[in-house]
Amino acid sequence: MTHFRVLMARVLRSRRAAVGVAFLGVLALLGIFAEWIAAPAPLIATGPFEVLPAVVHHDRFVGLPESAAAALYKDRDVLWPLVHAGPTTPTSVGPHAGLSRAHPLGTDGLGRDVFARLVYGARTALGLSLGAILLSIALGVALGGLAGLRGGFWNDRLMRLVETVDTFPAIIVVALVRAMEHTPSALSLVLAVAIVRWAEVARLVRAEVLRASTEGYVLAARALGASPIRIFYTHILRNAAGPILTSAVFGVASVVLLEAAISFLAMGAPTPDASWGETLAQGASLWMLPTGAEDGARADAAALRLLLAPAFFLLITIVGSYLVAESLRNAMEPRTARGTPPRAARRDPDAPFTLRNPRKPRAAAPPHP
Amino acid sequence: MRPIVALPTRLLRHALRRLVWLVPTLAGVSLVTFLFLSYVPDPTEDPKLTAELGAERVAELRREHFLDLPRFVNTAPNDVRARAVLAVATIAEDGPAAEGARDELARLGGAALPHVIPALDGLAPTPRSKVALALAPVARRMRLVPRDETVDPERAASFWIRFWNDRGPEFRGNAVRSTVRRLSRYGAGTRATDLRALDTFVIEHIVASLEAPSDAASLGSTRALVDILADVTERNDRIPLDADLDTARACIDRWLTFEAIYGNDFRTLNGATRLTAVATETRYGKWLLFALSSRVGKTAEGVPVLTALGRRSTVTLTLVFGAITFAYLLATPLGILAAAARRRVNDLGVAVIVLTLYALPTAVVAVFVARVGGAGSLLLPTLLLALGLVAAPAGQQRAALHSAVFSEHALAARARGSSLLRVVVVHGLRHALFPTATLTTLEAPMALGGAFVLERVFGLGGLGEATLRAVEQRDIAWLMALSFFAAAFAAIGVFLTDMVYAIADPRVTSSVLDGARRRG
Repeated sequence: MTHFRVLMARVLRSRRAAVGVAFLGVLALLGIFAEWIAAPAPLIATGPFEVLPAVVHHDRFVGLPESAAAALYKDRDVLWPLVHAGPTTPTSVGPHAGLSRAHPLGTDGLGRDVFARLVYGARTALGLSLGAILLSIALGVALGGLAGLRGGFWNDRLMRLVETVDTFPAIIVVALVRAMEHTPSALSLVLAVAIVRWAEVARLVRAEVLRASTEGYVLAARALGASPIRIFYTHILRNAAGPILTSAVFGVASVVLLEAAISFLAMGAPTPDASWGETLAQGASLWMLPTGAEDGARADAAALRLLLAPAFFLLITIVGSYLVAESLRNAMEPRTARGTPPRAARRDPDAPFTLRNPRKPRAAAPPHP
Repeated sequence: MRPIVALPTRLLRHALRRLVWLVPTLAGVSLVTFLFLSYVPDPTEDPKLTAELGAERVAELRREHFLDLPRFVNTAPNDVRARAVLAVATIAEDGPAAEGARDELARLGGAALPHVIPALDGLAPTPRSKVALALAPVARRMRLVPRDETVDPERAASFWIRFWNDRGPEFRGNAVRSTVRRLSRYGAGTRATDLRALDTFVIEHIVASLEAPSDAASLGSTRALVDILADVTERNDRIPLDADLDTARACIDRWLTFEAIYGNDFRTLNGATRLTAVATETRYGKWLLFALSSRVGKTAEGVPVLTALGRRSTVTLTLVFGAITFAYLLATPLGILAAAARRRVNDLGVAVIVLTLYALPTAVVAVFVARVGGAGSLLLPTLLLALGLVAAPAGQQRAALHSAVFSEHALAARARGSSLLRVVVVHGLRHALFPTATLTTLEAPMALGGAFVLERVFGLGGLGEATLRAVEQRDIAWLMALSFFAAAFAAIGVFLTDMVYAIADPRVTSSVLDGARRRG
């Protein structure tokens, strides 16, 4: 059993991890199957036979009002998704409509279905953070490995760079990138986040390289004539997978929060893309608006909906990733591993301290949400 | 054998080495950021603007933004000689561009004469008289007599050659410099007339001696200098007679900016100056010039960037570092509680509290709180920001204390009968407090995003507001300054953390110093 599989086994036994995985899983499913849940077009329509026209003929439905989309499928046998509106569909009930069967969370200030926007917002948030984190891992592994393997001057300079980048605020990088582009795109945001986040991965990988280079198995591999790249890939990187994974899962939360903050602040040119932060910003401005008494109650109700619904989604994401990352980290520290208590403790859970326990805990990795 | 050097000296040496490395790091950051920002679309690239103002005005605007210059290296810096030679060639050719070249030659004025008049000899008679006629506006500015000779195609060329034989020696930097110095020191109408007679040749020397006036006397001499500048450039920006010192300073600022943009149109680059122009006549060089000389340039609203940055960053930094302090005040007891929890219920309780604080979206909580009240004060936003920051230090304190309490020296202390509280405080906290320094440098940049959101919700005029506006208006000066200061802040934070470690933890001290020795 490899180290990594031991780790996974420990994580799987943890109840907290299960809750976290469930939360993130539900969100991921929402994001992946967004068109099956909320779309302006039916899932299946007959005569002429169509499957998921909202995906296949995506352009046809962008900004098409709800009534017009419904008229397209009048008198045909259709299977509608849960909500008959996409994230950019102007609905027929107008702005700030209340809860209804057609629109479970009402509509926002532009008359778009809030539920649909949140579902597609999950796609934006998770897709963005996944892209950014994968890119930063690729960069970080390459550069951190290089620093650890080459050593000497470049190692030194690279570590200074890593320190500087690691302490550089991500939001400023995003501001720079946003200022550069004419139309904001998700890709540039991914790049901006990856520019900042790779440093953390590089730090972890380099630490692992330095630790492992003096270990017997690496020396043995080198004695057998394995190339440095091979040693790095087969012997070192696998041990670094645990810390990288932990930081990646923590990273999901921080990237999602960053994305929400950017769309909340409306940094750069506005986009029609669904985002939790954008819905929050609408709710916030409506809530802060001084309004008349009679209209005020209605506006407040709408504002509460626009604030609490995306807040709930954000909460789920952050709690989910925190739980998963926590249990990953705990699994890596034998002392605090909740899934498998040390043997002595298992025998007598109340025996607080034993001098005979030979294992020394490794220094705790600084938590990095 | 290692030489025996006292520890403080070695530490100091290490600190100095790190500090010296800060300089190339920050220079690198500014270069990279500048490269990034040079791809920011300038407002003048908008085709609508060209239609509105005309291509000529847009070209001028682009020049004022230094967009005609290369980014980092100018292999062929443009000076008055290059411009004059080009203008003369164009006039001699008499193509469709000749009209523009005549205007250009008139603008270059006296500074171009040392390059134009000697070149007249090499031209055929017709182009020679054309070029000589193009100099007529310059003669008018210089108040040369007799006037009719300069506008007569027959005699203009010979007039200028005669003029150059007579007065050429006056076109010398040293002589002009001393005249300018005497004028600004003692004043006198004749000296001013002498300088006017040299036309644009005097610009670089006058601008070099321009100083912000501090009293009535220096105001007078500065006014005289600015009057000459306004005359020779035909740019009517003077210090009025009833002006106070601030107006005068603003006027001088404008002239310095003029010099930064157009100065090389009136200056001949030779040897050393040409070599420096390779670096200074670039967009980055100009930015650096403004950064060093005039408070990092102006924001889009016309406030000096450094002033705005200083005022706004107090709000944001108070928010960020106040929040981190509060977060630690809250996190340390929580961490101790969790680590010392004998029963898992307590541990779980702390974990739930920490997780709740961590996961509550700051923006939503802030929006609710802001309506209840507390606008204008920094305390409430700081506390709100702190809530989200508790999780990381609490977890770290818990882990560090946990391992410290279970360590063998702690167990030995327990065996001798010291209480759990004593073990935690005496043996545990010391270990647990070290990593907080690292964590602080990592938490501050993350808290900045939250701080921007809170500034927005509570309407505090901090860095966030200005940055959003800068992104919208593509204000490079602000973005450049902001990222440079963020990097400087980050680098100094890392340096201080390292030094704290090196001084406080003997294990780190020796490894740091050994590492430094190995590297050289």
